[in-house]
Amino acid sequence: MWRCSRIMHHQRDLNSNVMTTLEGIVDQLMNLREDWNEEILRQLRLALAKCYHSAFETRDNVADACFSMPTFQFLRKLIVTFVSDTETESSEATSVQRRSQITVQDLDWVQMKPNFVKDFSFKGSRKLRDLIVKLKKWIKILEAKKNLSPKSWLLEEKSHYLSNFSNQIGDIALFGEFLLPKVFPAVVSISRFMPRVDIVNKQYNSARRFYVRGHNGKEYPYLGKDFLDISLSN
Amino acid sequence: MLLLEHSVEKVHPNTLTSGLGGLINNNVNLSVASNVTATAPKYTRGSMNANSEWQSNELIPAELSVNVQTYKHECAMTLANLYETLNEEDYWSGVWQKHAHYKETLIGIAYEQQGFFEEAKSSFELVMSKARNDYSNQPASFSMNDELCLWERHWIRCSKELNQWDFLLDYGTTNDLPNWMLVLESAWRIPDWDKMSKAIMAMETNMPSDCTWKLALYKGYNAICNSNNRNLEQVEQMVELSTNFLIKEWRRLPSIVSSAHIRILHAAHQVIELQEASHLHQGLFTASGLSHPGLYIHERPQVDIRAVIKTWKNRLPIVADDLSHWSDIFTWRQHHYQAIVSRYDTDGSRINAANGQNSLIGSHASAQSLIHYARIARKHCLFNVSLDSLNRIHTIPKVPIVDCFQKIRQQLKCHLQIHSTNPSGDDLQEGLSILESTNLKFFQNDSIAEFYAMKGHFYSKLGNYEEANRSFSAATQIQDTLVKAWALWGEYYDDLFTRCEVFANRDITLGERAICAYMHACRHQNEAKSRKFLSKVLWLLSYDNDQHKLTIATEHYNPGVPPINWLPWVPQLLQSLVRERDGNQLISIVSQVSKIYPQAVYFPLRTMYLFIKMEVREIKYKIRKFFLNFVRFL
Repeated sequence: MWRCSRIMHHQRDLNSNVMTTLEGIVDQLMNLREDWNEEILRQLRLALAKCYHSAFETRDNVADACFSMPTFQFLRKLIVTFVSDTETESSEATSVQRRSQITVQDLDWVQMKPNFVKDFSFKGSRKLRDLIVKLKKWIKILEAKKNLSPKSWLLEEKSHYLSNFSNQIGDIALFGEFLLPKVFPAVVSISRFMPRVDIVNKQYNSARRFYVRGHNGKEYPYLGKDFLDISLSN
Repeated sequence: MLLLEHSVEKVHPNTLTSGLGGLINNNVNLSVASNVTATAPKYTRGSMNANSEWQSNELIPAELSVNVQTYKHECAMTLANLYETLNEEDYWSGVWQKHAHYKETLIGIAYEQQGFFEEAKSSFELVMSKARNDYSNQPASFSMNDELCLWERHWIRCSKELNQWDFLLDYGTTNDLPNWMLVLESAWRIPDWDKMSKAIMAMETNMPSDCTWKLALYKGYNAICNSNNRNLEQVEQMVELSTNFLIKEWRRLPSIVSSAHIRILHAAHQVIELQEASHLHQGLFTASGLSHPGLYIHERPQVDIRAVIKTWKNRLPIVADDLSHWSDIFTWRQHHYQAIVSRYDTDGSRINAANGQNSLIGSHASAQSLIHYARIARKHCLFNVSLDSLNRIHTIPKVPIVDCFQKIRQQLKCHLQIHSTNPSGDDLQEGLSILESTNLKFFQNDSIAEFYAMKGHFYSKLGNYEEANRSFSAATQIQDTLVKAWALWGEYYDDLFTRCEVFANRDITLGERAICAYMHACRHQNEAKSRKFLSKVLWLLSYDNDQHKLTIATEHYNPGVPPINWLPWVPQLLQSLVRERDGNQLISIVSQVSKIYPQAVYFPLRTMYLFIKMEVREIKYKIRKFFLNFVRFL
């Protein structure tokens, strides 16, 4: 790992301008992550799928089936990460704190929170059917909330840096230009980021699609998924 | 209804479509429908193509639901004919799979589909002799008729693909009833212009309607090349005629361009070349017709010739086209190159530098096209055709030395490829004997080096490692920058290195040498070619030993390699970087790449860095948690 950092420092020394702009861009792009409610929605949907799966396995006797230990732990973790304001020692400390700060500010969530906790803290029996019912209810609530929010928004709301970016600040090539080597003039560099960011919904994920205009005038759409990476959807 | 169909022969496709569509959609009495649809295509073959795709889909359910045995065979045959006119070989062979009587027919069809025309031809001959034995006493049934026709047609096709036009010409002329179509197609290639004119006259009245453009085309060919009646004005007319016919044919086909259109596209290519050839000949022969012998007149056609030859060189059919189409184009061009050569050669009295130049251009172009044809034949795996064509270069009197080199190279590649499909030592020996018999004095340094490298390659395939090594070192000594030599040497060492049975006994020096050779082979800017060498280098690194000799070697020879070659391999480099064992050496390589291409390295590097940081943190957290639990437990 120290080798990585050594090379990175090296790079920063050599072309500091390019490096800082790149770092800036990437940091800003992190802002395009999915919201808290989308994330909860995703986790709940995954949990529901898992429940259906175990219900299918015990389909002879669904009424009495209980959900398993891992599911229970998963639920507990869910509650912990989204609901608690206290410091936790988990490894996603910083992101959780940020998220909890945001969620604290969101009034709806503050109202929903006690219900959420009450619903999902299973003290006594752990019937699968109850869990499924509760999951479905919360999914419906969160989905309704999501449908209220707009399908696309302006880049300026999230990140000033990106919306004001132009190729005078730095000569950055389009993401993915260097995956296949080309002769130097053929590499397309970013001219600016287009102001519109769309929300793209797939089965469990919700991603952000933003558009980049290259210096050749053409517009290239990119899809920002989770896990710190960007993928070309061209 | 039947009568209606008869009269619909030349009508506009749309009425036919609607008529037949109504018939089939209404699901009229099925036995009648099958009969009608069986006979209808026969009459409408010339004009059915507008709805043919759709119609064949309808015919198939019609076929399946017909229980009447008598019509089943007819339906199948007409379906097969439909497919054949549409150029849908795969569907056609599928129909025949179910309806062939002889197993050898199926074998022949299968070979033909895959492009092995020699084997296909021999299996058709076999089945023909077999049928002759079977039916020598008794008459054959009517349903065999189609199969017999198939054999003849496809035997002819195989011969065409195998470039055996003289056989075909003989076959066309020897019977009592000459097959004028065949004569027409083969006579101009030999070239035998008398037979050509005879065939044209015979076919004038007798041409099937979808081949009228061919007649016009061949008349044009005859008009230019036939020395008896050269008539250049007629050529323009013929070009016009054939283009009109071709456009009509195109209109008859459905609007989605599919394999049925390919024939027309090929034909269009031929027509354009006919026109260009007529310009060429005009340039060539009007110059001599004029009575001013000044330099000016001779220089003008020179420009035209060069331009035409250059256009022809750049305008080649694609590799996937039939070899017979390649031979169409190339044979036609050959005639003209030869005409250029003979025109400028026989001008013995006017010893002019320009003339010599032109004849050299002609013979160079001629040789080049033969070599190119041989190369394409080799890629089609038709090795005999390829070797044949290469030998024909010897018929050209003065071949520039570059072409000799290319010719030998192609011959060697042929032998290598034959060896790989059919590993017996013979082809390798032949290749070696070719190499040894060439007189290397005439060639330039890089050609000599390449010859030595190929020699080494042949030796290594034969197992003669000492000689191989010697030839490779000779090659690299003669020409240091020849990529091929280093690459083949690298492969040789690679083979030796990875061949060892037991991993622990591997000879690391061989590996080092292999890496050295591969890195030398990458010392140029052409990234695509060095991709496979670098991938082999990275693969060899997995064979490394404790002293990291191989990685040290990689680093050592890296300075000559331009960083662009490493670009596709950045993720692999980073992975090796992070591995504890041999990461140190790779730092220099990665930093070199990152100096020139910072953005390419930045993103994967950052991702990997953060990933590792996360992992480390997870481990620390788990250890802490475990420790706390432990303490609590206590």
